[in-house]
Amino acid sequence: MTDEPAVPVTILVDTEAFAGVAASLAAAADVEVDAELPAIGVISARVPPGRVAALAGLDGVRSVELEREFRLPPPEAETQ
Amino acid sequence: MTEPMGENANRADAGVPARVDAYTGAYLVLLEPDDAGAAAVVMHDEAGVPVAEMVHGTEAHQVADILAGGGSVILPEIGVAVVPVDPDQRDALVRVAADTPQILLTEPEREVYAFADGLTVEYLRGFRDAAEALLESSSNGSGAAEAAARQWDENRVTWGLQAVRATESDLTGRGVRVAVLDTGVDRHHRDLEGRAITTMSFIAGESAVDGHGHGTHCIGTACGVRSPKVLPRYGVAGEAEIFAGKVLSNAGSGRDGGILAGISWAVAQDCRVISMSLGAPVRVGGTYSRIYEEVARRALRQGSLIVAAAGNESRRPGTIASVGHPANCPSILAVAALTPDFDVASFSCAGRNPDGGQVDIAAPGVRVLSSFPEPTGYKLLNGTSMATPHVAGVLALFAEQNPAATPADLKALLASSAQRLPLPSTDVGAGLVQAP
Repeated sequence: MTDEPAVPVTILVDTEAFAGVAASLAAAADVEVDAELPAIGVISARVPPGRVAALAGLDGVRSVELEREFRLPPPEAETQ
Repeated sequence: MTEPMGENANRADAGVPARVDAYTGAYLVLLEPDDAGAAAVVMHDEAGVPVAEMVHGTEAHQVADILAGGGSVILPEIGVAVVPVDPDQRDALVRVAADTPQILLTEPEREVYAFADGLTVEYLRGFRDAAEALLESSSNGSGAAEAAARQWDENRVTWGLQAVRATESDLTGRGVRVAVLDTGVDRHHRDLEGRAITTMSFIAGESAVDGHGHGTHCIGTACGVRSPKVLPRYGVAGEAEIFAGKVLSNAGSGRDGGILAGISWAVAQDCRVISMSLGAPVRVGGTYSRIYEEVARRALRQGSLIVAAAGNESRRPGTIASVGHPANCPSILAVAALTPDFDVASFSCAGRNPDGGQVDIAAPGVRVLSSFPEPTGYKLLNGTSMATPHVAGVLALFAEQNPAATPADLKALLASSAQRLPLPSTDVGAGLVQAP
């Protein structure tokens, strides 16, 4: 086990492999799945930083990216 | 003879006889396509030009022979006649053209050198297209040059809707589902009452009610009604079905997880257009997200086309930033912002990364009036965020007009119909979006 805080990631999955990948992630003790989006083959999850590279190597996983944040200017800003 | 010396002496074409604007002696006549025969009779009877022979496209190879023999031809598929005109007939032809409604335009035929066989259907088609564009711009003043000089009258319609010609379209987006993934919507806005609106929040702890204003503004531009409670009209596709996915919080923040969940929801709801006025900066040299690109492709395969804001990080003229994420994905349309005088907005990002990341199209993005949560009601804003829903609304009109069109078809229609601008394509892509 690690004490490192989990990082949010976005996982792109082959659509035909989606159910299997989702099941294995759900069963993994150090992966917390936030959302499964089978229509577009995406799973959002939080994992220890050291696990990100290993996730990308799983069968059926096409890509793993660290989740980005977006921020609009405040409502009173003229340029949005 | 010696070559003339002077400012052109070092040009690559020095010594080549100048043949600019060399004319053949014939005239090109742009006709009302449905009444070409009548126009030909008038030209013969009143201007004395030879009786024209109808030559259909499949027989176009005959054109050169007929013209070489001194005859006239009409090409009915493109609505163009080519008539030999003696110098003493020119005035008569011009008079006849002015008095005959079926004759739209005449022009002396130029000699061209690109085609070995001389006159071609392609050349004439080019003449027709150029002439029609000229006619159109002279009749309604929508040409870029004129627009640059004009002051927009926004008493009844915003400048943006006039610029994209939504005002000239009878289409309303009826039956087309448009998703706007943003800060939600004020569905009790005075102009949204009675509209078909489906909402979903992907922000934990927040409903789909718009506590920021950005989402309501974008929805207004894409899908606002034709007759708002307070003029001017500001919405492109007033009868589109609105799907408001809240993927940005009331504070304006969001994450990939919520945005992708919103895309998944919109695809499942059969939205043909997904508008995303959001993004994160990408440095010059950066690449696009493999995940968003593949998700966009999957959405395309399921019938949904995604448009996204190019980003506001430029500070022109000094700094030109590259198209942001996720608009920089090749399968997502990136929208740049234009000013009311059809210049690129100072903040608008540009295509600087060759690996994806180009601007696809441009739309009004400065001084854009649209709906804002009550009690404010309406607000002027700037940004590629404001340009993007103009494109989404126009896509809804194209989708209504072409019910069986795939996303690829819609994308092609959008690009081919855009008004070209005298600006770099890295800034404005195909040009100013135009409603069908």
